Amino acid sequence: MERALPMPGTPVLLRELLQPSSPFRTQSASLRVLGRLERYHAESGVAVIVQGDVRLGVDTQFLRNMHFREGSLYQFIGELRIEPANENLILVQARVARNVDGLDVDLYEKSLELRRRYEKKMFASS
Amino acid sequence: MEFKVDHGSSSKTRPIFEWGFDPMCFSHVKLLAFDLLCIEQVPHLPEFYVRKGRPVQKVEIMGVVVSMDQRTQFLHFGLDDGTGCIPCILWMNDFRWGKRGTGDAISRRAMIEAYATHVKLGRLLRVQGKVSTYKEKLQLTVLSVQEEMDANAETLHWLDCVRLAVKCYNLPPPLPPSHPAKK
Repeated sequence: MERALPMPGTPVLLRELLQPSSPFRTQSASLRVLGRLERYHAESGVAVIVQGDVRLGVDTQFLRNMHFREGSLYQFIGELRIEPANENLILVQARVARNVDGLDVDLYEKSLELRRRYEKKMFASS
Repeated sequence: MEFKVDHGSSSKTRPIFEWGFDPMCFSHVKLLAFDLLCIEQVPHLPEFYVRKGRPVQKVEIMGVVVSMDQRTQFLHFGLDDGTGCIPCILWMNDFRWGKRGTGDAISRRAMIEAYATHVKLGRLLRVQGKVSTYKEKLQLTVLSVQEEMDANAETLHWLDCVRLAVKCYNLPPPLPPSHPAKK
């Protein structure tokens, strides 16, 4: 029996995602976002995460057994939803979440940059 | 995003009888998913794969569990490291290390059950396994599973993978002692 796996969630920083010309800003793109939980609306299931001075809404209605704590650092993997009527309204529909309290965010960003450079180099050699 | 990486033609590969001298042949090679998904199976030697002309049998990957399918005989799960999603299969009836009913088999069974308890959606896992192919698609037959509680473990794994690729895996394999250039 063949099992279809979801698309990999490409790690992206919030400031990159929220730039209007960002290559990551594609409807239904699978992304991995990271941010500190600023607000969580239990009724709508929407969490607002913040990284630096950039905010992003994350729809968590498909997540089970997650207990959100404001001020904690979370990583979400899911699909990007762009409002057709207003492209400035974007939201990540999360399918997986994990608490990453203790993560060194500066090291994470530098490592991500290094990893991207390595990937690019590998593709260039093909 | 579809990745395609050239891992070198098989013409650059050293003769098979020299593979035993290459440490990559027997160690768990740390790879990012996009790198792993592009290794080539060796014709007539289905247990062996080649990456940039060097043999790979076993790998170590790390990622977040994004899908799982539990059956009586196996646990199938997908591990996402951000560059790709690797299908992993943990056989629940794998008693190769001991005869059925013996102490070895019982401890192996307990170990497999312990591994299976780590596999939950959203958990960060370090998985060591044997590369295999199922329906012409690459998958990992799991040998061990370790749950990573440290949030920085994944970052350090990325750095390890890049460092090892640049400083070791991408280089030509070491020459065997019998090679004329070594004398």
